[in-house]
Amino acid sequence: MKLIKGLILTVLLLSGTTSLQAGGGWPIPKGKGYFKLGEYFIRSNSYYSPSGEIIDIATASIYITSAYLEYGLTHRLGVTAYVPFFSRATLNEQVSSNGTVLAAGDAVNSLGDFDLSLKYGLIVNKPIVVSASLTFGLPLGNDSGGDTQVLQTGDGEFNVMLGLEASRSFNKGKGYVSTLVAFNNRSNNFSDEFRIGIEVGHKIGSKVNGALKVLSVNSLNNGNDLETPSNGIFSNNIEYLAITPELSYNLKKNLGISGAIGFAASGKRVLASPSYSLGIYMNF
Amino acid sequence: MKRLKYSWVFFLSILFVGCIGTDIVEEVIVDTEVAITSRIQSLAVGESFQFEADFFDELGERVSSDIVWSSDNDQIVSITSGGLATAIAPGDVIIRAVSGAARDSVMLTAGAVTVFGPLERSGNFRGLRNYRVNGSFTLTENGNNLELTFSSNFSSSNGPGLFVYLSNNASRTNGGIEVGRLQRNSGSQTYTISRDRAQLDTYNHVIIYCKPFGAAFGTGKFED
Repeated sequence: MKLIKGLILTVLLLSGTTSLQAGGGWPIPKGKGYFKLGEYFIRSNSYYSPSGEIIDIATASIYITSAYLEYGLTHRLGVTAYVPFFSRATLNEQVSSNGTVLAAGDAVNSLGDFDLSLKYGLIVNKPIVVSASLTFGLPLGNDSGGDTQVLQTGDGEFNVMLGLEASRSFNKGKGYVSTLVAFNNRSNNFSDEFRIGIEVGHKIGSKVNGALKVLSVNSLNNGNDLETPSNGIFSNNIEYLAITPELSYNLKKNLGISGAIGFAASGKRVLASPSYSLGIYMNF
Repeated sequence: MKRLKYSWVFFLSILFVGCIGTDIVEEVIVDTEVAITSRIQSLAVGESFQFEADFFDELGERVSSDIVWSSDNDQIVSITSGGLATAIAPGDVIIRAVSGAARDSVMLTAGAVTVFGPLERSGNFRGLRNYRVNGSFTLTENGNNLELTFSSNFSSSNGPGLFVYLSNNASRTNGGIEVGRLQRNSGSQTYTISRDRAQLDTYNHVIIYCKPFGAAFGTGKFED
């Protein structure tokens, strides 16, 4: 096995919503929307075990091509949809140093798990705005794929997450800070989750925006470990503290590109390498 | 519009990055090892017994090797270099098997009757790295086969591609044998192993191993 060298950090993108919603506590204006075509990928040969220890594993990869849409139905109520329409999971073949194939590689392609959300503005037009969201995680991904039947593009469980976000702007609207608390109720013997997060963003020049997102996901450990996966990025009882800096660049008034790298300070049952996200977005 | 077209090219190019790669697994070098697999405890004076042993190379693989046998007292039990022991007179001796730097030894009593040790070994699982693996197991000889049985108190964390291995290392499967896919995560279950692949004393550990990701979930050592 390869040695773990240097700073190894973690990441994740899970079936449930993992970061603060675009817009934070601000509701989506009526008739307005936001669309993003994104590519997420992670490739890792190390893994945070249930004890939090980093161990070597066969290199596993996940590639997710997704569409993300927000739309304002009223001045307070909006809908969002995260649609990973192409997910690919791979597992490297294992070859000994003398050339003997120890284990064949494997791959699976499928849809990923979709998220559909309703977001409602509880406090609007105030210095601090607050909104509530209800997210349904639809298990449309494959939780047992590939020749080995061990690759996953989803967790196979339906989940409902209730979130509360508060935001305020600063520096004459050039910057913002948003916070999140959420409870994720998961089915099929998966443990429920408690999530908290904070996001700080600011304009950098006329076309560039920078943001730093911090998200902590904590398992309530009330599921059944005997019945659910415990060794993959769609495992039960996943926990992590993710730190994700993101930059976006406005190509035009309503069109831009973004890039982010996800790290984590700690984790359990998750891959232990940086993840990368690229996207092209438009406001309408 | 032109930019949008280019963006599609970009995203498609990312997809091609997702090829199945190759991991080169470096061999772990260990000390060579000899393991006496005969479970005789006492040999009747005047009778002979053929000792057997396995040799494990520096990669932990069981391979054939010349093993030289000796007794610490030929007046009580004599043994040929090929391992054929004969009890001469009552008493206790130590039988040694040596191959290069590797060696193993057992105590043998020369007495009135020939007695073999129990044809069963047992142990208990423990989880590794906070994976939960509990319960006891036994390995028994049954004709030309060994039977590895997990008792009803067995349970293991779930995971993709869990397999059962016999090994001489507590957490690595190098040099061990794959017994089979874990039948279920809890409860009694039995695995049959041909004695062409292993003898009762060939391996000292049972491992629950996530084969696709190369991670041991739990391990148990034979206590006898």
